[in-house]
Amino acid sequence: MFIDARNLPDQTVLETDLAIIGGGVAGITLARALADSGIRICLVEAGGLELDPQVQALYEGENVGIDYSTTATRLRYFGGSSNHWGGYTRPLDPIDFEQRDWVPHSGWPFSMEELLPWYKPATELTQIAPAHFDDAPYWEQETGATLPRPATGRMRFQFVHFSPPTRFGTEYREELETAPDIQVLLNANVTRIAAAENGRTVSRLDIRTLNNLTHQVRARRYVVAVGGLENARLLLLSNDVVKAGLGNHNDQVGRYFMEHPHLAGFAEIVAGDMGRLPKIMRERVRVQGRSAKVAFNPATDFLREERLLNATFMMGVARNYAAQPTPDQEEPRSSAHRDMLLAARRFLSDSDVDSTTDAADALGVWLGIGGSCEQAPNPDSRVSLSDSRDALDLPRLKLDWRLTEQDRVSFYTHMRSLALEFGALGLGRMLETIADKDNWPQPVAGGSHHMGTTRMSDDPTRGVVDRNCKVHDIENLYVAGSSTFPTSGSANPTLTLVALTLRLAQHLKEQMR
Amino acid sequence: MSAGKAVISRRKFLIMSAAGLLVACSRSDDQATTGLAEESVAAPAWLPKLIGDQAAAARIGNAYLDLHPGHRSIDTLTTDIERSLVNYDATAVDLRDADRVASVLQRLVRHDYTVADVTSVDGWVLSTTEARIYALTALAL
Repeated sequence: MFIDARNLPDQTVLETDLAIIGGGVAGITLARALADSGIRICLVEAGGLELDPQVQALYEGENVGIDYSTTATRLRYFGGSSNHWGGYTRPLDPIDFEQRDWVPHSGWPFSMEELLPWYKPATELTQIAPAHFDDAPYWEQETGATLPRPATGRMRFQFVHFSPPTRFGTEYREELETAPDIQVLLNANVTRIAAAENGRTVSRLDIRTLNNLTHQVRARRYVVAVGGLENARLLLLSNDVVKAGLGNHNDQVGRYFMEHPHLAGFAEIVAGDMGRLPKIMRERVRVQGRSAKVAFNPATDFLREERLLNATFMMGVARNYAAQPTPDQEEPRSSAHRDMLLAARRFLSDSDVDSTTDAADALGVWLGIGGSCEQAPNPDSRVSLSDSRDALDLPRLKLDWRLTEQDRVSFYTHMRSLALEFGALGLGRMLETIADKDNWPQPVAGGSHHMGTTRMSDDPTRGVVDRNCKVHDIENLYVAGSSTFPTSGSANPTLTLVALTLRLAQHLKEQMR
Repeated sequence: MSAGKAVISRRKFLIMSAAGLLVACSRSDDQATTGLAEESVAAPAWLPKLIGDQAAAARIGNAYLDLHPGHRSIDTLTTDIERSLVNYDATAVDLRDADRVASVLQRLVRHDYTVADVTSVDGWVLSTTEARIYALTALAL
């Protein structure tokens, strides 16, 4: 059942077993997973069923670090940020879960093995199943193309799957609407998670609507699932009993904010022989209703040997010089590209004999490269509360996103690895276009991936939630979503946060029997 | 010309180092043995076989030479390339066989990338051997 909180009598109190704050990917996943469990659920969503600028404006925040939009990178309505999700889907790598002595604050409380049973149903929810993330023979068989074997020991190929993308609010709306034990409360802004006097139990949620009504939701257990930025903000806002904010006894809430720095335009590759560059390496290929594309990732051994962070690179054809044989006056680098393709023709061929008579007919392509990097956990990269207030008179979010030299060095090393790999395979040549290699290429953008602000750790002094996503020292409060990730890897977070949420659902089922 | 003698001496050393050429060295004529002209202005016979477009390669080669003016010598570049060739695959080196040399150099260039023996030329990440080949093209062709 869907209920609009703006239409309820003022000061309505709703009683339920489980209150889920947030109707985004994590909240919807959790509600669905518990739909038949006998647990009564109230899913509290701040927005409605469509984007409302007035509601979205509640996401405006103060930026004191790297320039970053706190509104454009998330959506405050049913379905949450899945409403603008690009659909890139891949699990984290096993090394991402490890405590790496060269990555401060790294290490999940469990290995990837723990999440494997949940990744499979997560692929079904994100509509990419059956997935073949590491299965090169599968893609070779299905596409009929032989993929080159990485030659440098630095890189490996994985396969990013593309969700349709699943708009969770649209795809699963009917299920939630008809589920007998689920209430979805729309346009209901949680302004505070109210703690009991002992500070160790949550007693209710305080809710306010933009038409000035106040309500309460009372439950046995509560899950905060409002996104990687807002999860931390909401805990910090809930400071009437615990002055530092709920779960913040050890000053951990809001710290370790991580993004995946997304970089484009840092380098270009020219490739001479499209026949040796299988389509799946340069564009999405659709097989049996699913589409996928090669991602270039660092080899795990190379990460260990060189003590680097993870990264993902993908590429696509920016210009086809075979189809456009004359220099393009609007693209100053096209002359440089053409020179390289012409000069290196022999090196970019598998043939011993240079049989091409008209080079202009078979010049090759310019491949644009996109890179997404792991950011090392950094306690100074953080979310806190601003002095300015939103339309509900609540302190806005203050974001201080910071990157480190370690992040930058890792990125450059992997960029160079990509150049070496293409050269070693005789596939192409890289033109590095970064003017200043001592600094991050500007602008640095994120991937709208908000992670780490309520990180998971078995040690309450090093994290906000435990391995079951329960807030340390609070008996009935949990956090769902990528804010619980202790490290980010370089894979888009959606699949992992869905898997982690399914695991949380199982835990809650057991706890609430 | 002591410099020229030094170059010739280095080439002889390289050739003698290459096991596959020890028999060939029994011939008295260096020219016949190596297939290389000793004239410093002559391009090695294998060079044109490696270059797709001489003008394009020369432009890249000139950019390399601007960064490495000390390499502005056909002899120096040829010697450096051939030394790399011998180090990479001594048994395959028969410098009289231009096609064979070109083929081995093609593999050597890929090997350079594998072992990160690269240099930057106007932003291009290039195999050191490859960059020298373009530079040689700029000077010799």
